[in-house]
Amino acid sequence: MKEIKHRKTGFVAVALPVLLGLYLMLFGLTSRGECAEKAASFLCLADYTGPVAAISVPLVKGETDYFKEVNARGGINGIKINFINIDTRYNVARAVSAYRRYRKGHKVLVADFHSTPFGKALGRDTKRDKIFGLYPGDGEVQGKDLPGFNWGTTYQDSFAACLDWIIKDWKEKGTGGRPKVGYLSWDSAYGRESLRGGKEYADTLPLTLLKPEFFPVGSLDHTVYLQRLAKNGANYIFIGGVDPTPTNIMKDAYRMRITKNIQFINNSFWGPTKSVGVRMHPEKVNNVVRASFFIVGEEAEKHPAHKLWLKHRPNEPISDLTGAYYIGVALAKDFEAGLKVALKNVSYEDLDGEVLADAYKQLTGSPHREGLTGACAFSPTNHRGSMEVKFYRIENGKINRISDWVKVPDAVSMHKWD
Amino acid sequence: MKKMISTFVVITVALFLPLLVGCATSKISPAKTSLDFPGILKTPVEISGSGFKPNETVVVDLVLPAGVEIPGVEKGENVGLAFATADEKGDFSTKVDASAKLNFLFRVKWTPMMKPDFKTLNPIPPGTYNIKVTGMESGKSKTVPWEILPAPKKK
Repeated sequence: MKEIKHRKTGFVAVALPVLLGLYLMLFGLTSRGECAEKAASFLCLADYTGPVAAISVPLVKGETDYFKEVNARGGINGIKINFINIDTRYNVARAVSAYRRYRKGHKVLVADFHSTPFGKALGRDTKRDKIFGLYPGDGEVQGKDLPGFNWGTTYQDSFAACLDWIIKDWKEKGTGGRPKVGYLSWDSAYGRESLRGGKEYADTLPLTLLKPEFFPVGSLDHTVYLQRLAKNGANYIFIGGVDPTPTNIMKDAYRMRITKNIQFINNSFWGPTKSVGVRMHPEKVNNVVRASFFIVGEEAEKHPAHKLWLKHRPNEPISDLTGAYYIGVALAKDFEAGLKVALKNVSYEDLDGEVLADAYKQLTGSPHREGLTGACAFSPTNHRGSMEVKFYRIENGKINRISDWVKVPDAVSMHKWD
Repeated sequence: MKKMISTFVVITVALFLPLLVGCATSKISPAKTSLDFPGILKTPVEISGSGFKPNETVVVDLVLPAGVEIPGVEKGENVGLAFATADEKGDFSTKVDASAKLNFLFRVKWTPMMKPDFKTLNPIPPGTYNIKVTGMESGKSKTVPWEILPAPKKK
């Protein structure tokens, strides 16, 4: 009898844990980054390698440094921030797979997508998972009222602001007639985004938008596209892509000797940057005008937030601080400010991405970004982080500010979103 | 003892019922792929399957065996090769793109000008790998073998 009892106990002792373990393993209920203390997770899917690394690497540094500061101060109402950053290596499948793996981590509230296609691939899943997405400049977030927010100004709104700048510049030059405007960017969702609403805005202005030119990501020679735009009489040419792409375009334009007669302009934020184009080819990128929703160049180095860089990156020269670092800081500040608002309304236990998204919508005009970007524009009807850009001109190896914050037109609303 | 065993069976069936109902299937084509470069970039590697939840995101992962490391991927983590959205019947089909082949089969490094540096190709060891296909919503998954062959010797 005793033996039977022992056998029964042994069976239970062995079989049930095995069964439970198998179940947890198969259904993914094992702990993934579970935190013993109260924490809220910020999932960042960023390309540390590949064509957009020049944005992602400094941006992640900004997020990392600011979250370290917050945690060193004891977190937000005692809640620490768990920053999960994944190298997606310029691959959407990798981002989708990593999202699947990490989304059920400890209170994941936000998924920061560093690439336009990531958000497009995962938008529906984030909504279901009550995690909201952060997107670079994709106007679709606003146009389709997706559950997420843009980092700052959208590409098309910035494009429209640049068109206004062109009209003003053209008038000041007193040339007369209508300026002809070319557009040259990556053959990708990002490359085309500026025109979804931007083209409609252009149609309302006294200018001629030439047929846009697109080239494969990674192209090193842009001669044929520039030749076509120059032949068609372009007075202004938008140059897209992430640095070094805009720099490579300018190298070709410089070689073709068309930089004297054509004003090159970048509406989509990502270059030529101080650490790449301006440093390596100052004479070739000279006179390029950049619109930016975040401060760049000399202004960025002088902003008080540069102390964060000095504190956390003693071995990295301040000259390596690019504006993208401040986007990271601004996004981390958004998370902090949003959590503070959310925790006034709900307990830690009830905190989820939907609650935090509602809190973000209450940050309209909040000063928490401290001038690193234009005024915070999140609201119940606005997904955009900012509705302002500054204009900069690259001159003699420096990126000099040539305007204060300028309100951008709402080009997103001019596009018909399917 | 009999009662104990029958209780165990009932619990087992209840816990694993989701796996027994509507099993997912998947396949990879070609089932044997050579690490021939650059030929592999032009060779379509297609993964298809059925039995997933209609319209859900389906993730295709390469299961990394112990000792095989890929830059940027933590040990024990699988690496995404492709993804798809299942159709209204729960079927899907997708292809491994060139970026995934370069990054994860050839472990390429990138130049300072952010282009893949073909001088740094470091193919994963040939052998039989597993491809795990998982439905994002349903959690249904299916694992299929994928044989990676060495590059043919150059004549």
